[in-house]
Amino acid sequence: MRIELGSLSELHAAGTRRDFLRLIGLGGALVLLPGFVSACASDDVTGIPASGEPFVIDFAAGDSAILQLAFILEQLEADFYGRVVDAFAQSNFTTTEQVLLTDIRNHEAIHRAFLAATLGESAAVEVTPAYPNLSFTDRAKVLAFAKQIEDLGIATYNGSAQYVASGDTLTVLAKIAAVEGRHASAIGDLLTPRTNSFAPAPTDDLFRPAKVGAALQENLIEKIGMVNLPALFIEGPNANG
Amino acid sequence: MADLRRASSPLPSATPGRASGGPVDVLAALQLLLQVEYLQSALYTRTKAATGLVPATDTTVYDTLATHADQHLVAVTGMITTRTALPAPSPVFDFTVKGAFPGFAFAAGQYPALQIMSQIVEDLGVRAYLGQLAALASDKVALNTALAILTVKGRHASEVRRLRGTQGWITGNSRGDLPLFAQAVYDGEENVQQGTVNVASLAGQFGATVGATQAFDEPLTTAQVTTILSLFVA
Repeated sequence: MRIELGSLSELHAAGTRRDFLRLIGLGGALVLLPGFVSACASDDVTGIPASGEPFVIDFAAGDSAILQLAFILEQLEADFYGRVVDAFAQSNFTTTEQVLLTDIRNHEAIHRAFLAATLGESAAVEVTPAYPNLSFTDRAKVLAFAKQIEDLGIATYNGSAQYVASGDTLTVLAKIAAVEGRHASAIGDLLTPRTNSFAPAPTDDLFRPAKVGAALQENLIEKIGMVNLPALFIEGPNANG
Repeated sequence: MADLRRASSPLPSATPGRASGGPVDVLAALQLLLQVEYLQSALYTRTKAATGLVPATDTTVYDTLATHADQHLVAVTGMITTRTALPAPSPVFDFTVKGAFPGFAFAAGQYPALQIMSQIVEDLGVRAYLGQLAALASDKVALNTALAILTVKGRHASEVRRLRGTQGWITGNSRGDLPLFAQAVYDGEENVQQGTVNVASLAGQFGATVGATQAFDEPLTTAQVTTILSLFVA
């Protein structure tokens, strides 16, 4: 069957889980077992984004919904840098750059493992990244994509924090966000050394979950749906979330 | 010193485990962060006024740091005034750290010393902001601004570290080649317990404990930040 959903307005329109299911045309029960998607996961990096099974994040679940969103992001980041590292033998990165990118790969894999362990088996749903038109051996393309997902990661953590109820969870997610800032800086400086590209603005972006979901969807086979999204999003200083 | 004591009034911080700071906590957090911003802004303002200090290759970076530091200072000051409180005034800073960093005078040829000081204040900034987030959580506008600044501090820290040949991230509680007085800025960074998860136990093939400590920055408490700031106050 063909499922169409993914525009920001439609995601907003899906106010409840039932609305979402109606919107994607399933109507009745939808059960997503954590092992199901991973069992379907392939190593196909050229798959078509949003062509796969739906994956619903229910924000009525509270902090665990924020952790699920972060887990999708970190799966993409860890998978991406893993592929970059695996392609070093064929790519044009200097030895110094390879060391740096391997460090980042390690950090993202640790973030992914931390979120998986925190969410627990039932809530840590695995997703399948896809990278249309991305060559993992092309330095310029790899760095451009790295900058994009590091900036998205920062905006994801910073924009989600306002919904986090637990002070401890708020802080631990910000600990990760600060390191994503360190990554974004290093990547920016590799792209254009000793300019302002390490920190292009005095304040970073904050994106609302629906905007994050739409951005992540570009690189995910599964179709992300969000239900019970909070009605209110308080913008950050850049007012672009 | 009076200013620092004001900024760290012995009010209880937010209840551990809950994002519940009230207006008093919010203002105390902002006043502490203001002191950090004063320190950073003073460092880069004096840098910009110096001659022959920053090499031409790095002036764009240091101009960016100076501009952002001033904008952060304006933002934090503004958050305090819009909450109808009075921002504490800036202390006078001593970048020789009262003798612990002898001879540093923003003089020509002292770029390595400036780079050391930049790393210290930027890593301090990241950890200071992390330590105040729970106290700011009741005020989403302040929280959002603090977060938007936090990650830029992370960017700054990474850049100034990398410019001096150090990794952009902190490993364990290592201050690397920094002078002893800087150790307090790194104590606690060796933590690997994140919530209920020991991340070192999950990090085996991904840098093990080294990776586990690099992957998370760690907060400093109000008391720790106040102690560190006092090192720089003339």
